[in-house]
Amino acid sequence: MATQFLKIRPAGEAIWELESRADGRVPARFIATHGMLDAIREDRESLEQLRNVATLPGALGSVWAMPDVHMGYGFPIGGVAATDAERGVISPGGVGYDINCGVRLLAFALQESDIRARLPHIADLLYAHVPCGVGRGGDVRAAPHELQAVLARGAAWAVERGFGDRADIEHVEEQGCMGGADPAQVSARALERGKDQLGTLGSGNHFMEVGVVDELYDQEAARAFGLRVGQVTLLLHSGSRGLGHQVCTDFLKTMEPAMVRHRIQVPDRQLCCVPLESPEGRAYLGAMNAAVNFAFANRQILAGRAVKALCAALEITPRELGARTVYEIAHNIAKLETHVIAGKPRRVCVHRKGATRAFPAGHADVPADYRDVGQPVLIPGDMERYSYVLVGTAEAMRLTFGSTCHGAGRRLSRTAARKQERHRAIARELEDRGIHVRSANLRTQQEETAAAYKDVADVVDAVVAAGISRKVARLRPLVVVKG
Amino acid sequence: MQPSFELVDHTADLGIRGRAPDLGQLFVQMALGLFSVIGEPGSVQPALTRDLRLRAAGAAELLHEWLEELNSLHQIHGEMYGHFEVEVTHAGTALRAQVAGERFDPQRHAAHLEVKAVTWHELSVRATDEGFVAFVLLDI
Repeated sequence: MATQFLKIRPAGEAIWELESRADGRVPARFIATHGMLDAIREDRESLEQLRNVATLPGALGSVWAMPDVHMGYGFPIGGVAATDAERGVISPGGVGYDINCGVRLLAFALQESDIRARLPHIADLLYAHVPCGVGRGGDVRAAPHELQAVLARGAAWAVERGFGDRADIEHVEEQGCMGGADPAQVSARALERGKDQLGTLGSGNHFMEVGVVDELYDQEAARAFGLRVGQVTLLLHSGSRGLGHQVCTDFLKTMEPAMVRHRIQVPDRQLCCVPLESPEGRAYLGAMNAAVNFAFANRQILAGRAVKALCAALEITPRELGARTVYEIAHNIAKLETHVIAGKPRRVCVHRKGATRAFPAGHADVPADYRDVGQPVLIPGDMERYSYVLVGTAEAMRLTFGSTCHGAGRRLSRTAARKQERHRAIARELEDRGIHVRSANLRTQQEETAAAYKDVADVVDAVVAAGISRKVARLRPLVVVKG
Repeated sequence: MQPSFELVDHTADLGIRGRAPDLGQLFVQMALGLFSVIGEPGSVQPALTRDLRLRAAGAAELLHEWLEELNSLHQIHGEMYGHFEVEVTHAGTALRAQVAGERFDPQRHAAHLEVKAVTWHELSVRATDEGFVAFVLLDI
């Protein structure tokens, strides 16, 4: 049976507005090029989820789906919603279970030719140094009082334990430490789930990837970000691990009865929410921010491990490697920010569920050395093709609460991908193309091939067409480590 | 109705649908489904046991609690489970269970995916003419 498309109307260049639900409070809009439109509309469930998000109390402006949108639970993945900080709600579903899942990009003082002969060895050592996959805990054990410090201080805690240096933190969103963290709101079970997981990658779509800058689109921004063609890079994708997952689980449970007390009704149980200015709302924000800091510390440790592995594989010193954090972004988070709505600055809670902050040049939250060009935006693609570095724009502030896409977006389910890719000798085939893959199992490789994802170039084209980001650089993978 | 489970496709995540003549067997099937996403429950020996008692507001909430508990115990203690005995009482609001398994050994146990969480999205436990049917969506 043909899919019954939801009604849409054009609302700007590469911008489409969905027909509202009767109880929708604000417009529900999505970003797509004409070429992507049918595929997105066929995924009706994602768009229905977006329309549900538009019913959240206190929603302002429009709610948005980015072009990498796909079906989530409650919120679609690739969703952005801003709620009034005084009278609106906060929704754990608008952040997701993997609180502060995010991406870091490092650039090195090496060219592709410096490492080409050692790529298999780099792959082996990265895989050996970075705990990943099911059941592989980390060796950074944090005693209970230290775990509290991780939750309060984020990446700085990891720097003090010898993972990377202070300069890294200047190039991390929120400088690697979210204010307002309240570790006391994090349950004993969440702490237990997190205690052995600092410095672990996880599984599924989490990865570490050595790559090379293979194309520049914006010379000025690339210069500011310190990127040049042929340069070796490292991209890593991970989040707050079991600790963050448990924080979300805990608060969904306490918020359900609270929602009844606050007389809030939502069309999907997973959209559960409470007023931000309520005891439950403040408690969740404090716990979420603590989990955000856990993720910042986790990625700082992972980056430190990667640097050690690369030095060992290449038999060079850290100075010769010249690792520099280009930037680190969060793409599952809710943040209190100021945005201009109907001409007036308003304090809002921006939920980014599979969406990336994309602040423009001149914004005070962009690192000083990037402020003339804007905030770097890191968009991983898939392990066979490419990833992108973008930069935020003033149009993103005007339209999407300073937000853009976060990745390629899945196209095939895991089962469908395995079925389609089962006859491919993926690792060997990719090695022939110069990409060295190490993973905990074959299934992960089958589930994460290019076929499983949309072409991230199309996603990027759509956000560029809508004006909410500009292209800076494209990265090509050389070594991929998957959980 | 033969007790069974199947994994259900979802773009980014995975669902489990289970069927059984009674709630106890249904919860066993859903647990087997969960551990077949994480690894291969058939390869796990019953070398250690854990006794669980859980309560919740209704059968769907109890199922959520049950699967969350198993996933948490698996992650916290590094254990794989493959054997489940479950008794659901109090009209689907309480359970007693014995869970058996062993320490995860990457040399002997297949490991597929970490499960981040058991979501509430389309979570259901339904009585049918022949027994019970349940659905959960896991965040991967």
